[in-house]
Amino acid sequence: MGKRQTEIRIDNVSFNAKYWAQKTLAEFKTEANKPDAAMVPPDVRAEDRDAWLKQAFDLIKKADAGDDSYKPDVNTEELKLEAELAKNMEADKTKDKGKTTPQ
Amino acid sequence: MDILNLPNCGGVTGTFNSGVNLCDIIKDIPYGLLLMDSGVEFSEAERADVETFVAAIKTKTRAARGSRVYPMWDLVNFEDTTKEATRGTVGNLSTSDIKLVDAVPGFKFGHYKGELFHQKLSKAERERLRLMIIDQNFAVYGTKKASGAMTGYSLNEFSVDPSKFATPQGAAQYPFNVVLASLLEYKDNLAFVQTDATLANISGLVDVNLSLFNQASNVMKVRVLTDGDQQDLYDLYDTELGVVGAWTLINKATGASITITSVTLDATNNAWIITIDNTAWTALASGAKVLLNLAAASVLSATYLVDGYESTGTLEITKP
Repeated sequence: MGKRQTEIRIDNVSFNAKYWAQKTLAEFKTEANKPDAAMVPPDVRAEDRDAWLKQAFDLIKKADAGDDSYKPDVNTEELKLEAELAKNMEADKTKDKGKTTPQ
Repeated sequence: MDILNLPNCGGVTGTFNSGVNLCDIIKDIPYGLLLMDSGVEFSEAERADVETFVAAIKTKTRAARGSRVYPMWDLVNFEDTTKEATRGTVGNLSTSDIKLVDAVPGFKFGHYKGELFHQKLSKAERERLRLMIIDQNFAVYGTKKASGAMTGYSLNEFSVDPSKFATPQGAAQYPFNVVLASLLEYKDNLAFVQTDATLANISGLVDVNLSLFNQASNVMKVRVLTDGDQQDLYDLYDTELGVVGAWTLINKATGASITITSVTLDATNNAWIITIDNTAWTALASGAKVLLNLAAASVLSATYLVDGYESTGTLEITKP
């Protein structure tokens, strides 16, 4: 297990990981959705807001737990691309397994 | 042997020798100064080699006040203003002059950094600082304490003269003077360390001022500008200071720390958006004050790579 982190930056928003890890997702979302709150990057679309908050909260919990996959500075677009890349590579592997060597 | 009433007339009790060392040091023109708070000293371990010594000085330039070193470079117009020793006449039928009182060293320096720096330098007049002098060969001169530690010379005076306008014959002048307090420190307890040009890479701290751009409930927008020339730190360190740990917040009345829950960047207004723990904020009475500040200079430098800046003081925010 990695070192427990006190803060994590997600899309240039820095969160106090120790503080938020003690809250629930509902409490996190309530604070983030207050009129004057500034916890969600301005370029996150309204329809993506809820998903972004859930992902951010999961990352905060990981940071606080000292999860080895944690990065102190996270860009969610990059995470999405990495996930797609991993998925495509997995799909390619499966395709290659099905091929047989010509006699 | 009883040394009562035994004058030292040389001979078997003398300590002088006249052989010349194979290697010695000659003072060159002063190039820089290390002003320092009274308690600052450099141990033998910190003088183990040039790299260690230079690193120790750098660390102390970012230390808390009271334990800090304040470097100054690029001195100009150096003048040794040490008065002649006081001499008196002895003898009866034939007289001769002998030295009665040694003069305590005094020096006049100048810098060419400008009016704002000269104004700031005046603050040093009241701070009872000590002084090390660095010459153009990067030899650092100070004094050796009984403990073996090296420290700066104590001062009787540090005074800043008014700046002078340029003339057709000469450049503007920014003079200041020092008078040492102790000849013993300067002469008998001489201490020097030969360093190199890396020493001159060490800079002092630049003061920055925090200001409240706006506030809405527990969310504050804060701007940070350098003192004097008003350089915007957001242009230099938006991301580096856009982290929770770069800021501190306390309750003014109790001194208790209040949690900062998030920090976001406001690129439109060159401000950092600091969100305070809503529960703690709600619990404060109307009119209660909180004090927001940047983390200590040493923390900003070591952890957040914002080196060389220090907040001049807390930003007081009142809960409506």
